Amino acid sequence: MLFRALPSQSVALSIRDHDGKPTTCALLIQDPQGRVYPNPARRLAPDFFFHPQIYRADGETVTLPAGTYRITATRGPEYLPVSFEYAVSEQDDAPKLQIQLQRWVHMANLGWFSGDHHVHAAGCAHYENPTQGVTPEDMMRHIIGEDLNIGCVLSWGPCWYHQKQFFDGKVSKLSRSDYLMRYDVEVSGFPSSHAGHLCLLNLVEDDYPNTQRIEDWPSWTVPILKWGQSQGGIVGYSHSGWGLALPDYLPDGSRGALPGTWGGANNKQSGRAADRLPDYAMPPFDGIGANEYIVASPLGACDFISTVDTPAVWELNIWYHTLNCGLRSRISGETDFPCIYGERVGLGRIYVELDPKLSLSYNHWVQGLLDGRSFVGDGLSQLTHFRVNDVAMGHPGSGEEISQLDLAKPGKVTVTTRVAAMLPEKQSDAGAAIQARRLDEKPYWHLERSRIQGTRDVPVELIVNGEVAAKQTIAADGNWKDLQWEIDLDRSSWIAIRIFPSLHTNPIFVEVADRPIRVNRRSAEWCRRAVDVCWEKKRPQIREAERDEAEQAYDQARGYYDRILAEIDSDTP
Amino acid sequence: MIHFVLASCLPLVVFGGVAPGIDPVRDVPRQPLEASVQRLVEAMKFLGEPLPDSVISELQFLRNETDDARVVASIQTALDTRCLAVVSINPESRVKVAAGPLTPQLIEKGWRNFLVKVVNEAGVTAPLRCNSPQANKMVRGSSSAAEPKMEISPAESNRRWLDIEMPVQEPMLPNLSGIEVE
Repeated sequence: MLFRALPSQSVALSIRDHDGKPTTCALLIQDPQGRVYPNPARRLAPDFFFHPQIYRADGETVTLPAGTYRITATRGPEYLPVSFEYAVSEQDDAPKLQIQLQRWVHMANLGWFSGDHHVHAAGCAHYENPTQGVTPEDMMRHIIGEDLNIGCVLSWGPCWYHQKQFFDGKVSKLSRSDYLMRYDVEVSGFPSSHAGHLCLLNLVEDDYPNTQRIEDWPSWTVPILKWGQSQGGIVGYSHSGWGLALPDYLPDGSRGALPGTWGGANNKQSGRAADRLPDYAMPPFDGIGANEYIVASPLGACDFISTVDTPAVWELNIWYHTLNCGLRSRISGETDFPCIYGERVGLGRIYVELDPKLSLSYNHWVQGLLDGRSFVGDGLSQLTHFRVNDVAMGHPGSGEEISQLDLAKPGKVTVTTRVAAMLPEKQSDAGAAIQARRLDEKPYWHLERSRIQGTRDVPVELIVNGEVAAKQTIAADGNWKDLQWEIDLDRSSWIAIRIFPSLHTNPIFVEVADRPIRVNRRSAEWCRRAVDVCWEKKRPQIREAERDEAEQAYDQARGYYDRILAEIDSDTP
Repeated sequence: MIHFVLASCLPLVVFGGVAPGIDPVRDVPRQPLEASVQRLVEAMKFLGEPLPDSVISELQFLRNETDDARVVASIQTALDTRCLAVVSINPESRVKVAAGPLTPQLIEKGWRNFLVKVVNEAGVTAPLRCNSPQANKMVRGSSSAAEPKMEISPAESNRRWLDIEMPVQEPMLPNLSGIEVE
């Protein structure tokens, strides 16, 4: 049967940013029947077939048949969605559509630059035919369309030999002054994957020494992390929570079964998902998250662990315990697009503060990530000016030590910060559904989970040594609020701010009387035992030829935590 | 090319020319035919391409008529001209398909809704499925292979320009009803 196809209209798009400048945004186009345009089943890049939305720049077009549409324009979490009806007429030879975007906050103007250190151009929801994943041009479009200042596109197992051609150890030439993209590596789908996937940023070389094929790489993570650091890379674990699940709380307060591997209630002995930090229950260390981190961090081989794309309590728990033992690996924010989340790049993100006198550069940004001059989250809540006394997060403090305040003796400190958050005034059904979900069900991080029932308010928590030391409530109306606390510190401590689970800062470290941070015996015992649990799980999958070296590294980590235990005063909790 | 397939039958897929003129099927009980047509009317409205007022008026008029044989024939007459294809299932459940009288016209990047008349002499109640080489998936999802095979080339992908959906959600039914014509 021969079909004749009538032409549709090519709609010219005018897309203007909050300041009138042309830009790129996401467009969701639906007809009254709810059908999405362009048809996702017939999309090739730059339109992703697993998305309802498309990304278009000012001056580009979208082809639509005559009809009426509901169009929603968005551009990441710093913008308010703009939704409107639009009619395409058969009589209009040159239809035009003007879109004016509206921000509720502009973090880059305040010196804070967003980034997502973990997105992919191949694998998971991407296709491998007709091309092996998508191109740098496609990824750049999505990065700009989500107002993501830094996009780290990581080549990994799927389509590795094709995609690695785009790695050149430099910022992509497609970058713009305010939006930078760099290709790097996720060590995933490699022999070491069982011990935790790795994000290797700022690499010069993407092939491990003396390897030709993926199968030749090491079968555990520490040598790879050290190799990354040795070339100036910034390295850490991906999707940290996997393998670090915590058991449910049963109605009587006892602990039940572990939830599913990827979260969600187990059928047996399920109750309330773990929701307290720190949690002293021992995870199974049976997954691909920050498992071997428990070894790598005390060896100085891990610069950061990733957050925002796995259950927040699972991610943060191991980090809190290691901070309590005096370690200083930082957190960063990621999406693992389009694996854990295919919705959009930058769903999980990190904001890094940069010197306002300098233009945006990848080197400055990734150095800020390394220094912990940053916070992570869903972008629906924001923060600036986090200080303890006169030491600002991620800046040189006492003795030029980054993020460190020295006190001669125990006493009061003043914690200050500015915070803003944005929730709809009234909670939508979708927002209520998110808030009702278990903490280990997606979306793991979302400001709706923080909403105080029946209000637009969210709590801002001051965290000292992993515990909530104080709390203030703010209205999530988009306005900045200045917050201040005065707290007593009786010993060396780490201090952070969080809106759980929407925002979490990196710490400011306070050392009292030249004593390192040794918070409590329970965290140290947890870490020490975790090394043994991790070794039992990982040892069988480490090649025999590498096992002695691995065991030595695990022993070094055991030695570190044993020393911490020995140093902790017997009267500490 | 478009294929019609009965899910649980031996598929005989034919697009053998144009039905010269569709004769109404006479021996059809009125009540189930009317009910299926009512579902069709509602479905077309829901899909954004309602039947023309003239057809709706004719169907409404026929609901009040008492001559069952005339109503059965007239319903078919009112709808036959709007059929893209006629699927015939003979008493041995063999299937053949012919083009209907409707001009096959599509809209670039848009959806069109077409009627398909099914003459079901076998009383088959399997789902009716429609497919086409042009409606095959344009892409092959990731297998996580480091070096995936190329099975859908860019040129082949571009040939797969068509999407087909059979509306089987309410008010339509997922299976053929088994009545002689629907």
